[in-house]
Amino acid sequence: MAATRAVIHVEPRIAWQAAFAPLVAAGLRAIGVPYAVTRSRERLGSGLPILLGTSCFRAIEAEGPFLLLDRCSFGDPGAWVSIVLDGHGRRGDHRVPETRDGSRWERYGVDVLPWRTAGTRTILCGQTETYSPHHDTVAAWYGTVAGDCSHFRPHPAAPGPPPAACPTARLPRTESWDDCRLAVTLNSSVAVATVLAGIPTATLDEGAMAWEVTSHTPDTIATPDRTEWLHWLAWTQWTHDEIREGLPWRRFL
Amino acid sequence: MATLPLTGPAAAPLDILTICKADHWVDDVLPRFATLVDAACSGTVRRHLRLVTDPAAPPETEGRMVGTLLERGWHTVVCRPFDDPLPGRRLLAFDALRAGLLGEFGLREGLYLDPDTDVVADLQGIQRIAPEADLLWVANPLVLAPVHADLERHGFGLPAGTGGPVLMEPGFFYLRRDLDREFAAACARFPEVNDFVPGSTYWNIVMRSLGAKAVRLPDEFNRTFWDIPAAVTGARSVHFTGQWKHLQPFLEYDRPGRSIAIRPEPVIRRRPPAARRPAALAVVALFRDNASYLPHAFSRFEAWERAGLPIRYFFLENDSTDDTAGLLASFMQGRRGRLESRRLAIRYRHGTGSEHHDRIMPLARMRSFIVGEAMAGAPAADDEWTLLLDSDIFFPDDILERMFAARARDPRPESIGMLTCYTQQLFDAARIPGIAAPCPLLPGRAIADHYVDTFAFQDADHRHHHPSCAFARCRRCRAGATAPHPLPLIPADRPIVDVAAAFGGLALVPTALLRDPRIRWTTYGCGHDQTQVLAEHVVFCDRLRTITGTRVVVLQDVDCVYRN
Repeated sequence: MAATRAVIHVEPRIAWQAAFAPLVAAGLRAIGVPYAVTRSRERLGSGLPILLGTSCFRAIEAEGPFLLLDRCSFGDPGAWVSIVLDGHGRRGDHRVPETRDGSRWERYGVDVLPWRTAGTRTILCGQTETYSPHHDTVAAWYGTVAGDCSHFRPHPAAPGPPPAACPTARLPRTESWDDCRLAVTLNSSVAVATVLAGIPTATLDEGAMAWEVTSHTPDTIATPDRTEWLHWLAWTQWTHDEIREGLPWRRFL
Repeated sequence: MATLPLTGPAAAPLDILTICKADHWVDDVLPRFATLVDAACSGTVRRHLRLVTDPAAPPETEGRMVGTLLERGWHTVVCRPFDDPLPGRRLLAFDALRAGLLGEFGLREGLYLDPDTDVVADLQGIQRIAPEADLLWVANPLVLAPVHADLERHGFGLPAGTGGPVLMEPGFFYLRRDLDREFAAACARFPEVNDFVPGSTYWNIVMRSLGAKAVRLPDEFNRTFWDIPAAVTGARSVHFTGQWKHLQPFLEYDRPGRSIAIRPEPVIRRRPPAARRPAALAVVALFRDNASYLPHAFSRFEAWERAGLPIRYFFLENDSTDDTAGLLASFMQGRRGRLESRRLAIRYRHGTGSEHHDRIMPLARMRSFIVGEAMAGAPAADDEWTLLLDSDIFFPDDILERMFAARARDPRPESIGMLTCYTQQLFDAARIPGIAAPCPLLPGRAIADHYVDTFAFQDADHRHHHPSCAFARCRRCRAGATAPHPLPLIPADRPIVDVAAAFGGLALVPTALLRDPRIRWTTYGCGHDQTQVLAEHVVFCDRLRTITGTRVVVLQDVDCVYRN
């Protein structure tokens, strides 16, 4: 009897997960992979857990291999999703081909703007969790860099203004990238957006997807050639149509 | 005989397992099974399904089936085609499948039930019975002579003096470990058994081989339907065999009345009956220079409010040169929602057509903005629907009832993510001589069954019929045509038309779907001059369909909506 090779873990009360699970199921079925779909928060049998999102299935992440489907780094979140094995962001394995040309990147025609060479503001970008073994809390990390930054850009999902004791509380809030000299983030996917927009960026955790094309201290600027990184980036996320057709699963299962 | 402990520590979750082929049983049988389990069993109950998939079915069909099962509360669904280890003995292979179900679901123990079993009373607590046993079983009241003969022949007959011969019913048992190896061993060791119900023979061989590790449950746990007294009075579950299965959907149990009713319609429909109107409404609309139109819309909204419908309003007004902003502000006094009046100074490029990028993209952004505002707050009810309304759309005040009545006639109403109407173009009668009919809602205006929003319309095969409409009933598009329409037309006798995209100026979408921020509007251009773009509703509908797996439909019979 063929064993179940993949287990889709879904929380049906979260709308996007309920809607996305059938796509994943169709893709697995399209390539003949026996699979299960479950709302269990625990590992089920020996099949590789496919986790929809980072919020519901931490216990499974802690216990062994897993495949994480998460918000994409670039492009329309309604059309793309990132897929990574055994980790968050660059810490995981995206199964990027060792030899790759630019065809996958160019196929999707995402704009890449020239590096900016002017600007006065250093914008600290907020995030909701650290996703990093180096920092227990986001606030603690803010404390290490806020002194080098001129503005704070809250994460869109952050619950209201930071408390007065938070290191970012003294920084003017901004949502604009105008006059930005440097964007500073720990490992948020905002770094991919800023790099694509030509904004020099500092990432301070090696899990950041834009690690290769950013500086790693708030007082340095890096504007390297992004071509190789873009070609790599194109293999870290997949379109909904590709998922429905089963294309990514051949690389991960 | 085991008894059910009535007191003791809280039971672990009761895991109920069943097997079903991925065919019409998913819609016809499993909803009754699931509904009865959920209604009858106390405590935490988790339903697990081994779905035997059809390798010939399209993957998208299987994906949609998985989505439906999740929606119906199944905890785990294992999807795999039938892998026949016993070629030529398909029914037996299903019995073998049951013996290995715990491993399929990663469970330590669980209750297997045939899917055509009615759970009528609480089965919670069965997991505490005889904890040392590997198998809890119930007696099969059927006299299966071939099985008895097989058991006697192979040395599994009961010793003399143990009472009458009793067989295990393989449609109801509680497993504490998988018995697939024992089952396979029995098949291999005793290949010569009856062809009538060989699975029953092998299950009974396994049960009897387990000795004290197999414990018989009280008969009340499971009876056949044709044991009418038991089914009426005390059986906790009732299984159906043979022709009785045809009766099962129509049966309703009245235990206090000690009766069973046979209803003319299935007691548990495939899905709950559709509501006749939304529980609450969020109205989302864009307005610009609509002072003369707004009294019509307000009169409808006020009629709905008087009927007790909770409504939230989200209006975006921009750059009006008449009293639109003032009228909206006055209307919003004391009402829930938000009015945004913006001076956007949008540069419409006149003379380049209504489909130009410079017109469509701002519209898309405005629609997305105001829907985003609506979704930022809590809905007025779990079942709130959002009404997407364009200006200059005229409609009767019972439009919601009409749309929901049409929706209820669909065999899968909950699969519809967007309800649109057959919105008709209003004409001056003189402009369409010979085909004009008076508009019932607006005296002095004429109609010709012309579906108005051809730009946003894409048929089910993603074909754009613009500037003609795609409906065979339209007299205007057919009148005076010198050549037949080059694309297949939608017949007039199809009340609910599945489409790739449509809008029509008035549409209903479950608010829960719109809370996904990906389901918004945008457009895509073509060519340097940007004179051809996709209607923003095409992108919206595509996202709605593909992200949520729901359908977009035109209610062809709801043709009482009009646009000037």
